[in-house]
Amino acid sequence: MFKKILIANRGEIAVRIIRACHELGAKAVAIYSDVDRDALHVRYADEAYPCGPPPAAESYLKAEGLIAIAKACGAEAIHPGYGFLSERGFFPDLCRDAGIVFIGPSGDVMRTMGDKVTARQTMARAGVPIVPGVTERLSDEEAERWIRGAGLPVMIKASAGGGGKGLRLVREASEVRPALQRARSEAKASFGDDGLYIERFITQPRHIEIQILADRHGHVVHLFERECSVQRRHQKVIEEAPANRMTPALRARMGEAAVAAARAVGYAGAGTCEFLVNPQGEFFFLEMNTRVQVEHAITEAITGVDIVKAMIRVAAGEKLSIRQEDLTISGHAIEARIYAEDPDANFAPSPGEILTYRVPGGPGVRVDSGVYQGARVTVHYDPMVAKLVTSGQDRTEAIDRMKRALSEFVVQGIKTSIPFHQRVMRHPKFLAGDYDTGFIENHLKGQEAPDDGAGEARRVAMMLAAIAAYRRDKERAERLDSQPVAARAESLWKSFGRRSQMRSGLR
Amino acid sequence: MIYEVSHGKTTLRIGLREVGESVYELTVDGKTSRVDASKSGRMIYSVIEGGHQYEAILEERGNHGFDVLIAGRLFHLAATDERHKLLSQATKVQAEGKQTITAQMPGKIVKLAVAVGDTVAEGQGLVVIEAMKMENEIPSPIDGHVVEIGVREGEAVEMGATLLVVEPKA
Repeated sequence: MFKKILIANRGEIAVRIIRACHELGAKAVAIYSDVDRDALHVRYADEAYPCGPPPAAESYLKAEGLIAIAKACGAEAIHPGYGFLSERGFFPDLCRDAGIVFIGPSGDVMRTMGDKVTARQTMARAGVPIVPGVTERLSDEEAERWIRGAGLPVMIKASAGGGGKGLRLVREASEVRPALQRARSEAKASFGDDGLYIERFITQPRHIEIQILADRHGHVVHLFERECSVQRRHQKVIEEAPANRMTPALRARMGEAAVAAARAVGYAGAGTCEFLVNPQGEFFFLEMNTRVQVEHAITEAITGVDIVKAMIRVAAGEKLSIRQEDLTISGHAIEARIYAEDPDANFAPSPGEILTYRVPGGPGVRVDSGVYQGARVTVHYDPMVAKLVTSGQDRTEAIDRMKRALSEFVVQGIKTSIPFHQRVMRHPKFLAGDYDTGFIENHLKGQEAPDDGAGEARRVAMMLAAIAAYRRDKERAERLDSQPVAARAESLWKSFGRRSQMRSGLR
Repeated sequence: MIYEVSHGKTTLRIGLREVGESVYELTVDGKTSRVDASKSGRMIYSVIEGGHQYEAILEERGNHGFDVLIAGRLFHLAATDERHKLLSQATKVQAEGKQTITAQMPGKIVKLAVAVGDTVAEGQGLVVIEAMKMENEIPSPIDGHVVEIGVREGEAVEMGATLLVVEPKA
């Protein structure tokens, strides 16, 4: 086992990896940009080194700089987390050349899977079903020609893509040209590569993915599925495991396909095969994420496997200690991603200082978070501030716990998606498990229809608004009173007090 | 004192009298109840009314706006002292007309889709801002034409910065 591991990341995933290091008895080395000196991951670490100015391109993405830090402090391995350098094929190569173990697959595997076009070709050859579409990069003119021939709707995707960036759903012919341009510019900005390809749009798809674990001795297992169909702008918002409307037969087939995909490229470490499943129960390979996923915790909850520790162990050369036949699904788990965003301003990012942070607890509740009271959420990085994971004996208990935990969670100073999650948790379609990736677009736009609970809550909210307005008016009057004003005829506070005694008009 | 509290199209007149430390008598629709609203931290209230306890998180928004998160629901309310309201009605200015579009978040202008003098339709994209790695298109709030542009492509803007001014059709 490694004695010292550098974590080439920040935020909640850096904290998560540090926890795994400490449980394994390894020292954890943090890196931090200039705005992250006070970040939580730095405070949990055993060693911490600055890595550059706030923009990620000048700090967390500076591969050579991070390797130099690792060498200087004697770290034997680097864990990339997710995002940043985690899926850049050159990074494992650089680590290998520097004599440092990269915790993840090889650069070759990453290049194969990271380029979505090559991944599609590879999977098709391995017999894994892929989403119908093109298997090469297209120019704008070729793309327009292909779309004219194949018809709409289509998904335009970045060849180097991931995380919903450089991705556009096109339904109308007039949207094709602007969508291509926007996808290209977003892909260029996010990945430094503006290559695009096209897939047919699968109607009413559900996003279901299979977690796999592979060691360096040829053993591959899958840890069942996660359903990530609650998405906004192609970003996952809520995930659950196991999936809704899953049958043991479909689970077995998807698990086998994911294991075959991993074997086809000689995979090592933790990875995820993402699939789209249509209403007929057909599944199509979407892409493979060659890193730990944001939503790995729900799989940990239903299988009891610590995925981050398993990644580190197999990177150290250990054999997987679990066999497929030993794995079972126990209960149900749900994750809600708490983003710093304003649900009332089209989910625009809401950076700022976190003034209050009260985290839920109790049975079946796990919070993975990279912030604390007093921390700043900056515009430089991903707006996710925490992951709230609840688990229970069954889906109903997991949902009940999620509702309960969300109501305990208090974040002030920034706007968060907590109210949005609460709305999802009482939506009949979600409660019935009857939803697809169009759920937010089709069912959560506009105002929520009022129900019995809303009326009483609204009455109390309105009374509280009156009380808060009164208290503020009173404080203002007192503050003005404390200032020396030469020619004031009467104390403002006295006149405020006299008015407050009036009860005219209301009997 | 009487406060007018509104939520969407609903407005309540709420009579309020302070009767003790954080305790108030509130009269709504002729019914009076005693409400204990104890504040901890930064506007986190525990409200007890007739034994029923609610926790509510409150954020002030502008001069009269209050966002209240209670029982899993977020309400956008406006609360005004009735006297203040009468005063402001007397001096009310026409609020329609020119629309100034400001940045709702700090970010970078990645695209200006219009120029001064352009005719725009409600909902038409005017400008694309990138923040936190996402591109966000800002739509026009009205039908009209662009009379002013306060930013350039590639420029970084602070929250609240004026992006464009759109004047309605005559």
